[in-house]
Amino acid sequence: MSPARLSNYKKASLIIICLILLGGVYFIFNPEKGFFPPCLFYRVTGFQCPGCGSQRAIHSLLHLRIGEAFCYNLLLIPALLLVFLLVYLTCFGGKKRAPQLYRKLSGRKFILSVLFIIIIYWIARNIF
Amino acid sequence: MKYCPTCGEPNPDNARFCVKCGREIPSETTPSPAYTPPQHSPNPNMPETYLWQSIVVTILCCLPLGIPAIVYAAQVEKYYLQGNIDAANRASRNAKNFCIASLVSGLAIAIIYVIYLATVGSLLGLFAVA
Repeated sequence: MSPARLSNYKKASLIIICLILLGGVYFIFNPEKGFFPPCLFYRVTGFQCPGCGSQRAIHSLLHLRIGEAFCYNLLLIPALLLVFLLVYLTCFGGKKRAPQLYRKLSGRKFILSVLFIIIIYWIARNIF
Repeated sequence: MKYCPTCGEPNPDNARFCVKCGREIPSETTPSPAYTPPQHSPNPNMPETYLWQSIVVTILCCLPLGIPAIVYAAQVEKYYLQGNIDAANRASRNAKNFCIASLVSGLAIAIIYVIYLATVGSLLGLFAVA
C-alpha cells in the first residue's frame, strides 16, 4: 500500500468520524433552540437563503421524520442524494464504472439546471 | 552544457528533456520554428467541477458563496469542450476556491457564535439571575 493511498484512507476515516460526531450532535440536540449557529444571511437581510432550515431538516431526517425534513428545507434530501451519487462517482471509482453518467453530471447543462433549481427555490421560499 | 529554458537547470548538451523539470529542451539542430505544438495535449482529462462540494456548501453554509462555485462548475465543461484547457482549469480552481471560502466562513461564523454564547451569553445570563 503506497503512502498516498494510506493518507487517503486516513483522510476518509477522519471525515467519517467527524460526520458521525456531527450526526450525533444533530440527532441529540434540537437546532430549534440552543447553541446552533443561525444563518448569517437570514440575520442580516431577513431573507432566507437556499440552505436555511437545513440544520432542523437534518435533525428531522436523523429521527426519520422525512416529511418534516422536506418542510424545513425542500432541497436537503434531494441534494444529499445527489451528493452521495457524485461522491461515489468522483471519489470511489464510479468515474470508471459509469463514465457516461459521470460525464453527464459534470456537464454544463446538468450543473446549470442544479443552479436554476436552487435559485428558483431561493426566490420562491422568500415569496410564499 | 546547455540550460533548460523552463527552469534554468544545467543539462548535458545532448539532453532532449530537462533532468530536473522534465520539460523538452529545444535543440538548435532540430528545425522546429515552423512547427508549433498544439495548445493542449490530445486528450487530457476534464478538470474536476467540484459540483458536490459546491452543493454541500450551498445547502449547509450560512453565506450563499456556493452559488458562484456552482456557476464556475458549470463553466468547466464548456471551456473543456472548446479545447481551452487553461480556462477550464481556471474555472475548476475558482469553483474550488469558492467552496473553500464558503466552508471556512461558515465554520468561522459557527465557531464565533458558539464562543459568543459561551462567554458573553453566559455572562448576560449571570447578570439576569443576579
